[in-house]
Amino acid sequence: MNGRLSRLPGSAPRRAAAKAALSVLARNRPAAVGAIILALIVVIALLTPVLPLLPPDAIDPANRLIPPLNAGRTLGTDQLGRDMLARLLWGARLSLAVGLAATFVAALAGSSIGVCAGYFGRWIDALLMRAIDMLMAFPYVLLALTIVAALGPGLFNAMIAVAVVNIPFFARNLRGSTLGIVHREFIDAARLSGKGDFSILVSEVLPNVAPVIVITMSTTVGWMILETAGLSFLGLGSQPPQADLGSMLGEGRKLLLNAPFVSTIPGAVIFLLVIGVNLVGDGIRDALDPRLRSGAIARPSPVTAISRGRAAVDAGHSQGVLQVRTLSTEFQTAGETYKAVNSVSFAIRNGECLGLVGESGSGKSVTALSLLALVQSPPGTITEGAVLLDGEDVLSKSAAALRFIRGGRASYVFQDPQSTLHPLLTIGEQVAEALRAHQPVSRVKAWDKAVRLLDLVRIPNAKRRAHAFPHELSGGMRQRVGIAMALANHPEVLIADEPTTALDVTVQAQVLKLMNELRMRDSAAVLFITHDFGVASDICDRIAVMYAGQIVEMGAAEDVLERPAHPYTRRLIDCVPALGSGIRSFRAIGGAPPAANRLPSGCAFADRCDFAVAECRARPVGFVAVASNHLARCLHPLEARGERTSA
Amino acid sequence: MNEPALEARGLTKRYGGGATLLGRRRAANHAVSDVALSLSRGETLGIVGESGCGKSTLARMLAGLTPPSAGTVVINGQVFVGDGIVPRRAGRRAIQYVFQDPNGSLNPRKTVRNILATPLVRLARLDRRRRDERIIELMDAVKLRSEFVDRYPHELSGGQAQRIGIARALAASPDIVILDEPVSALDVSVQAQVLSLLGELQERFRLTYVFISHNLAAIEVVSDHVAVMYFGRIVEQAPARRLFAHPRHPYTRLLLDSAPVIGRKSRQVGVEIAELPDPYDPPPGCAFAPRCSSVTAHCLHDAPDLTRMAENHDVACFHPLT
Repeated sequence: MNGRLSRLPGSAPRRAAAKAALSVLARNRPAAVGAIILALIVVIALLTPVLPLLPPDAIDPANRLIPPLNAGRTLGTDQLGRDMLARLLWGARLSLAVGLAATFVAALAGSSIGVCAGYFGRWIDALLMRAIDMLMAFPYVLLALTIVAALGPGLFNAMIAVAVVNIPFFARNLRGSTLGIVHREFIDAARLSGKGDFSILVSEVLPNVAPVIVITMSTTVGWMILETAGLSFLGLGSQPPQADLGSMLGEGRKLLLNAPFVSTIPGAVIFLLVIGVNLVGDGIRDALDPRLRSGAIARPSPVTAISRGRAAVDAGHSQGVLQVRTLSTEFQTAGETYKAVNSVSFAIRNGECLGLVGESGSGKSVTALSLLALVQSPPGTITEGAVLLDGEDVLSKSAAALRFIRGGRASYVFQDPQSTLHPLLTIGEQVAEALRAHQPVSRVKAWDKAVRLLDLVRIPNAKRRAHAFPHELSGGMRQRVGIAMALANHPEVLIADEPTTALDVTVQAQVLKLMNELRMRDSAAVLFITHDFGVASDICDRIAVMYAGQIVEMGAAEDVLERPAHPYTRRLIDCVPALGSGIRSFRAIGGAPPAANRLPSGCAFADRCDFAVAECRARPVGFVAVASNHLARCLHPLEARGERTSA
Repeated sequence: MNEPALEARGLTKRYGGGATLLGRRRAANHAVSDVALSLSRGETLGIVGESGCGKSTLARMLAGLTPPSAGTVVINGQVFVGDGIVPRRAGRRAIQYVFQDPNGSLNPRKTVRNILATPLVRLARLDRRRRDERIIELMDAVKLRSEFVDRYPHELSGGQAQRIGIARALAASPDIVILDEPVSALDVSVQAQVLSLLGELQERFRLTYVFISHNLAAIEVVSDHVAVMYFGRIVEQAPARRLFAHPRHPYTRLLLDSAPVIGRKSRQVGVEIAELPDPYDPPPGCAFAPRCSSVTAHCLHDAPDLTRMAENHDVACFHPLT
């Protein structure tokens, strides 16, 4: 739903995406605080060589351990009489530089290993990743100590040790994200375009995993600064008289009781530096992570926001178990209003199947979700209309009452059974759960009923298969489970959103047959959403055709399919030559539907219509009855029922 | 010059197999078994089958994207892949591929210009000026305004992205284009637009198409010949008109009867099972036998070979329909 919506707002270049990421970062308060701290430290560190400081290594035993703010020493002097402020600034500069250097080394080495392992796979992957596993088999600090012990103490060696210890983080992260990209078709396309492995790695894979590298760097750099300081603290990093924050801390440790400031001041600086880096790092991660990019992690409310002026509910003549009246749903994003569903009305009787046919973006799925207020809010809002189930307005019910209707009196079958079934529960448990959510039955009884339901939807050997997990079933079988769950509580209304689109034709035919039998048996009202007129013809009694958020034609299935009155219906049917007709050409509809945020005031199809005149664009077009129970939203409907309506 | 433009001989792809370190044999999955194809310049071969039948694996082998376990692909008389030969630049220029997912086949971080330039640099070896000219030509050929060249894939609709995919395939002037479900991800009205475009391009550049789809109606319209695949094998192959009018294999019949057609209510759709056999433990006989209405003992024990039933009409069935 969201993915489809995000395609609507025309163009959003990459620069805008970067800008959006920056604004997310700026709105993140802790990250802003971190950025201020970090910026302050970095600026001071950069300016250190030009600041009027005393030499950091000049020993002055006469002035040892002067407390801060005494004798012109802002931060006092240490046990050898060296100026603390100078040592601190030079030390911070060094720690920062070493931490960053270690990060870059680890990122370069780790990312190269990870990307190569993920890209080449097979023995290269096995070799590289086993080497990484060996690195990870040693405790973290122990490994760093061993490396420094082997190479000898010194700041450069400490940097190498810290970098090596952190390589696995980069390698494993990058391998994972490379694996996710390597099987994408654009890699194959690049190979077909004549690119070699190296070129594909550098220009196809790398730009796509770069955000992961940045995220991993920003979240590990704080650690690396800390680890370098740790090694220096132990005397394995910077060697006297050179100071870094860690070694200052180490030297001050012995004087903790006499002169606590010698160790607490560098300690505080390390603390500030690392917390600043980590806060900024988290902010960068949140800004770059696509899942968090929209800002705060917004939890959609369980019920669509509804802002209707006055519910048009007159519980008068009942035309069916489900009545939808002037239903309108809008999406508000980035200051634009997208009218996804625009005053849609229809009714379905018990045992009747209404087909809602349209192309993607026509609003058919949003209509289906709006019926039980399942459209995600924000950004969705139901702005008008009523949904009457047995004469009661569903949209004015409380969230709890709605939840009881969902899956109870009205239930859904979705397109992709793979993503609607829980992967970690057996299918029997899931069907039983659907039962127990609405009926007060025991666990054992629910299970028995679930098995009977699975048997009803012709899962072979249902008793045994009830213990199977969704991934153990084929697509057709999974969709049968979806249908079993939808039928569990004998719904009065069944809403099926492209239930067979993901299935093969032979499986589709079986599932359609099954759905048809079951709706006869339960005499449920079915709203069947599809883009395929052939499927609609197979199962539907009546058909409503949607275009740009409106129903443009509605009538009995054979009337709409054989004598379409709206030019759009006619052209859409003609897009697909009938099987076996021997036609060797396609009659495409030129142009594209209007954007949902810039709908014209007149007929939305006018720009693509062969018969459009000025009148069509002037004002909204209402329904015209072209025959009994056959409506078309057109001023010049095509011939219907043989009789030509006036043009 | 009656040499076939594209020929496949005994193409087979096995996954797994071999032996473990301890010498135990591992089960092999035959994705594609012993497929032979031949088509002349300017023709379209439609390959139809349901998911898991091996049609995409076959397509990838033809284009040199997946190395075959056995068999060869011959392009214009030259071996392209197989027999230890790996695809070379000349072969790569001759055969190209259009993918199913229009957005997935374009690198999200590259502009259209960048995407189209790659084959022009790598395969056609054009200099900068000729390259820019060619990009304009290509955009014109796929009927997109030239302002699209500086956009990123996510700024394109599905139909526009697929046109770029087609332009990319045509960039280095190939003879053969493999179309792997090129319109399945598109809306019905956009499908018709893209299929019409493909037809025009075929005539204009005398392209040879291998059109892979599960959509029988589309296959019927675009194809000269059609091959029906089931469980990794071609079970029926015939000129399109003939195959759709007189299918001889029971599976082809089932496919045709299952396809939703306006004005036709579902007929008898055969046995309830629609599962493919376990690919790691294939049955000894015909793979379609468990679903077949005219199955006999013979079918369960032996697998029928593709046999010529009439002129240009091959069927792998012991009891072909009349």
